[in-house]
Amino acid sequence: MEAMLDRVTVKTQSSQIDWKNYRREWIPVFVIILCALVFDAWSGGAFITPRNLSNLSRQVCVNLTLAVGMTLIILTSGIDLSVGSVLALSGMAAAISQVHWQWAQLGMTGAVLSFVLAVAVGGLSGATAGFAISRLKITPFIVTLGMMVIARGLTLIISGAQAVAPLGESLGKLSSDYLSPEASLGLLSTVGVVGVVVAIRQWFKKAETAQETFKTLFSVVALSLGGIFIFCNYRGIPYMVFISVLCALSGMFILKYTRFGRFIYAIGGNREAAELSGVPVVKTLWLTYFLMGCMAGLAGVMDSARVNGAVPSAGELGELDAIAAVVIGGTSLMGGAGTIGGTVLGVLIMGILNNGMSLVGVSEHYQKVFKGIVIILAVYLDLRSKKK
Amino acid sequence: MNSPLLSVSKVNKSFDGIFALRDVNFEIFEGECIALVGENGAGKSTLMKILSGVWPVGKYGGEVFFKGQKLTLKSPVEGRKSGISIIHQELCLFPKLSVAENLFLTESFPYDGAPSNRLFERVRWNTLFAQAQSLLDELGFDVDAKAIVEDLSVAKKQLVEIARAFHHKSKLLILDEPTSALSQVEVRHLFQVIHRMRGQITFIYISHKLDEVFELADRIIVLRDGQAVRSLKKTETHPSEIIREMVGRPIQLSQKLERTFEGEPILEVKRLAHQKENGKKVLHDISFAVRAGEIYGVSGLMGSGRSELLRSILGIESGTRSGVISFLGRWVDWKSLRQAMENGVAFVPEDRKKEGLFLDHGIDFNLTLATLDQSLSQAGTLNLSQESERVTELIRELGVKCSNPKSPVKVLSGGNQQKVLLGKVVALAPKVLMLDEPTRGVDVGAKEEIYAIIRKLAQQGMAVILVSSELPELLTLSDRILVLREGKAMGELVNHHLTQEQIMLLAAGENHGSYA
Repeated sequence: MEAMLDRVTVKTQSSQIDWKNYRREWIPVFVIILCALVFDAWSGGAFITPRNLSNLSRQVCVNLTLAVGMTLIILTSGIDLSVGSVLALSGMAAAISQVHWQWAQLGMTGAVLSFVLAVAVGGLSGATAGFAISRLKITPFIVTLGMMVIARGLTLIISGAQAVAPLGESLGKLSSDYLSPEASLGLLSTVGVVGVVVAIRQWFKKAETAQETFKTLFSVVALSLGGIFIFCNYRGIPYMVFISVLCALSGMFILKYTRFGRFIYAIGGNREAAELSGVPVVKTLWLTYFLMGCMAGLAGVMDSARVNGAVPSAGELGELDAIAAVVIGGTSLMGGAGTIGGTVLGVLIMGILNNGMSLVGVSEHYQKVFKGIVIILAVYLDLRSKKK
Repeated sequence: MNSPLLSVSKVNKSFDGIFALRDVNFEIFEGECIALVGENGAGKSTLMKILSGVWPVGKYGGEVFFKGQKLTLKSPVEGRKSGISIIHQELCLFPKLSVAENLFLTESFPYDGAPSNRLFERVRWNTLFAQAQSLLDELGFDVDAKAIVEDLSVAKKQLVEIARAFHHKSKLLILDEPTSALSQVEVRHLFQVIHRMRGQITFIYISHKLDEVFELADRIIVLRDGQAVRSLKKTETHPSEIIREMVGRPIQLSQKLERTFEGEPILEVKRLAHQKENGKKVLHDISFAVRAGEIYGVSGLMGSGRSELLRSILGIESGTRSGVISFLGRWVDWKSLRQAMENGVAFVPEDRKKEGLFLDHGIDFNLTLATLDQSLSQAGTLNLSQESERVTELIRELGVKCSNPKSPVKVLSGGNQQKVLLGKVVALAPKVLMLDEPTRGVDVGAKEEIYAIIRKLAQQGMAVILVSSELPELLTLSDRILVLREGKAMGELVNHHLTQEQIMLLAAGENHGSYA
């Protein structure tokens, strides 16, 4: 009898919590739809057009790449303030290799080499910060604050405080080229169908709950239909979108299907218990900051490709955009709880605000003020919904 | 001396239907020095929380009268102003501030003129230090008022707290296990202070250590299972009677089968000693050996080095260790828990919420974290369906009561949380299992289930080292029991018709045997 009572109470408690979480996870989706409709009405139908949304997708790529890495970092209850500067440094390295070292003349090979160089520079900065944080046990805030200034300084040194441009044609393609609309249609519809089939199969195998399955189905269908509407009506999928979406998917995979991902949640959830459970804390942290660095490098080369050159001031406040997206996406700054899916929504909200406000002619200065208010408001609302 | 200073009348307090205090009655007169003794879980700390206002009036049954008036504390802040001061084991001082600031911070600083509560009153540092120093001198405490508290020894920090209580004109001063972190010399000094101050102030002295109790107290009040069972004048009793009262009637226990173990020990410790960074020796010269299938109990009072023994062997206690540890006949020198785990040792820490569990994460997450390599697919990624099968199996094996393996661990009862914690290490299939207080905060029914799990693991051939503050638990489970006192091994007892008194005498007696 007592056992039964126990079971009943546990059941009601857990289903309550699931319902609450569930509702909370849908809020950003409604915010996105609402914002889109408001901006569309305000701009007289100029917002929800394939052309504008395709542009928007290219604008959010850099932030999405940074925010995916930042999600991993914040899940360990850390922070990385250096990503904006590391982005600038690696983007600058790529540009210098193209222009001064004349890798641009090597065509496609040169583009790949510059690309690899940027990721390596980012990875090296990340690994350095990771070493100080995991081995020397200095707080992430301080280490990455220092790294932020160091990387910005190095960018100015190697560039001589000058813009370096133009990049070679091959690297520029990264930003300016698209997968053809036909290929995009094929890809998106395949992804949509396969995703739906896999999600339903998982549900039949009872590997996922009904709520979880519905969420997956909704995302897959929304993304593929939305993608078809946007990209097949306007040039196709931009390569950059392709790369950053791949980044996000890898992040999701790491968190769900690898030991490394599990360790990230464990360290953020309860570091002491993680250590006493045999989690390799130092190694995991180090790898997390290294990955963040690599993603910042990737974002750097994408950013350079987008403007076809590199400026020393690239990526300023990039870290704040990334952190804001992660936090709006529901990841706790205390660590241990959050998802890449939420971060993607956070990135989209930030992107829609930027794009929409520019579209309706709000001055950039007011945009900043408004974005700041949104960040604080989002976290406050999240906090309140968790407390209830 | 006619009306009592403190009168506790029919006080009740229960947690989820389990009584922590049941109709507790006693009276304390002005100027007395009372010792309050009882086993762990007897209700001492709950009683202290009522007296200090942590449990406000209305949250407990019965009445408490202090200085003839009913005590109606609504918060710990009111408790501090009421004239009752408690000096906890964990001292409540501001470590970065000076002694003088600590003495006067909670009220108004001394300013020019009358004391003031205004936020931006100017602090007269010279006056502050001078007043603090004269207070300390008056009490005869050898403490510098300008010293920063964190630089002081524990003993001097206690003096600061006592001085603060005195300054607040406390009538009643409660000392909760004050000597657990003190050296012998410092204990003598503290006793001199208490002897000198008695009469001016009424003391309640909480301790396990009977030699201290008999030195200080006029009267001894024994708490057992939430009830004040006896109040005895020191002159009319003796330690063995107190021990008998604390332990109570012999509890009917499932009789431990006497077993002998042969063969090579799995884990052997020789002349283990451990010194903290501050020079304090927490373990001295401890040797023992554990064989497969054996449950080896470790007993001792608070601060005797029970947990430190496990942590030192595993290499997770700060400071330096000396001595020899051999595991399966080989020398080992574990520097981290990971190394020990790779060798086949599992550890269940004492504080499950802080060190053991991921409270916001699911039962499944907690159960498989330490053994994720067992649910890897060939590609090196996690095989989630295989993992969920393992989780279902573990939940059934351990009897964790839950509706959904994904629900967060924090919604489970204490007993079920503890089972999850055990399950996490059971999945490792270790050769040695070290348990630190495996049933703390667990209700009686779940305790029996956990005992059954531990017995089963030992039968499967694990060597179990069980640290526990609960004597009945040690007696039902252990084959042998090592008793520690102040970091020294006082004896190793074979659990053959062993009684709680025999263990208590070793654990509490100054010169063991003489109280029997």
